[in-house]
Amino acid sequence: MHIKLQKVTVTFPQPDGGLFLAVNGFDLTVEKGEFVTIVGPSGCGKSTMLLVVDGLIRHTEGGVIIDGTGVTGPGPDRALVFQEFALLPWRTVESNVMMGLELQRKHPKDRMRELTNRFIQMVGLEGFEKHHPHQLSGGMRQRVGLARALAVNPEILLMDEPFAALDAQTREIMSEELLRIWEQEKKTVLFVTHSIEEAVYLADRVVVMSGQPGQVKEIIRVDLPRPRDLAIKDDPNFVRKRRHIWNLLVEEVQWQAKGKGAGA
Amino acid sequence: MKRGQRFWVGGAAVLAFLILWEIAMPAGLVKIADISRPSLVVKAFFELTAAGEVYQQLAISMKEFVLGFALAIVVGVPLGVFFGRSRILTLLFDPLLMALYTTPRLALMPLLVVWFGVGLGATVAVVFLGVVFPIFVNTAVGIREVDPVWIRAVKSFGGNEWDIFTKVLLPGSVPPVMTGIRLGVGRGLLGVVVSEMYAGTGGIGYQIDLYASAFRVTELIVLIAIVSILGFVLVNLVRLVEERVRQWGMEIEV
Repeated sequence: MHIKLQKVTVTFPQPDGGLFLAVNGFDLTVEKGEFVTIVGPSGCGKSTMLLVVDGLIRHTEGGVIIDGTGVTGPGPDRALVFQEFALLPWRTVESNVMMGLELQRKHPKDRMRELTNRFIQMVGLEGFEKHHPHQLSGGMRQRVGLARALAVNPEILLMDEPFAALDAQTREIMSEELLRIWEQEKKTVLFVTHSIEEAVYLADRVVVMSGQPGQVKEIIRVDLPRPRDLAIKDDPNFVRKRRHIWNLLVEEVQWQAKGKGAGA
Repeated sequence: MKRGQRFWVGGAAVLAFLILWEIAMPAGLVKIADISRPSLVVKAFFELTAAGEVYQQLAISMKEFVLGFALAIVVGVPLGVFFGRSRILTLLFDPLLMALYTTPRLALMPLLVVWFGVGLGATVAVVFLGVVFPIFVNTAVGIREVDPVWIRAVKSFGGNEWDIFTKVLLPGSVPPVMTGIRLGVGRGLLGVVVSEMYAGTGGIGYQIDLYASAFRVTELIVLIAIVSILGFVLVNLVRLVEERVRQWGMEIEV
């Protein structure tokens, strides 16, 4: 096993002095090279779990183990792609992609430049090296974010709703391209999204979470053949999986609404 | 088209004003010669600059201005960074700094003269006090408003506190620091002139005071115009730099 999450619990201190239980007893094992997506209702703690794996948020209880070692903070074996892109606006595309490499202080300047160019090409941004983020469309900005993450050669790619800020069409193109890159690079991917269709299309397995506190509700294996293209979304098997997850989430949202009603 | 229109309308108004000013005295619109005439002012300007005296005085003023301004940047920017990063520091010193900030610094002049002596010392101190606050406050606000997601990105790629400082906080707070510097220019110039008038031994402000006590209105207007042009040039210079560094910032708000 590669990533092992054992009974992970995350609590946040509240302004009133109390504790908010964000994630409760989250269990998940991810194999090397596997593509796992996480879906769940808003505020279910799915992004929190991703940041816990990255090491930006410390879990309160349980184990977050990667290749047998407990996670205590961010590391070179993981790289995060942000929903808000998180590019530095005063840096060019080139310089943004290089940022992760600079921070790792592992390679000499020549090698960093070489890697930067390679990944700019991989995400299809050649010719835009000297542009600033504000000169790019949303989709192109996230390509920069993806190249920045890939450039540090992580074993695990953590993606926090990376395409949520994009329009529907760009979103489909980006997810198709992500799969193409993933087939090449064979990274382990943990991908958080609120789009069921995206989750099924990308994943080997879809983790459906229930919220407040966040828990694993069900894990669905997606045994659709690879490589996949967008046409697979019409496949009966795809439709079946999507409907199943939809039903799970509707159940979840209704249950939450009822719970709130009873509490009031 | 629009730009040209603005130029002509504005230019016409200036011209009308100058003509009115020129004929006001001979036409008897004003009784005493206390507003001078543009033609006299221009003549006096060439007389004063030909003697070279004005440049010497200007050099004295600029030296005081630059010293005070540089000191304000050296102190204001790091102080702003610390305050922007630390809540406790802010809570601790906020009342004191705000009290100092709201005190009219010209009311402090006698005190500054006692401490730093007449001439260079007192004037540099006045400029410093006027400029350091806008720079300090804008830096602190800039640091505080740096997007936390940038910091998270640096942390996520293994960056430490120093990396956060050099790669995010410093470049990210350049635009507000520039705003502080621009606001400081006007306050700094005011400080130079008033301080020299009150406790100067030389400089444009001191000259203004001399000519004023001799009721030499024409020369007075020349000196005021020089200060005014200086301020105009400096502010626009800073604004040019500011716009360049701010380009990305404006776009990103859209």
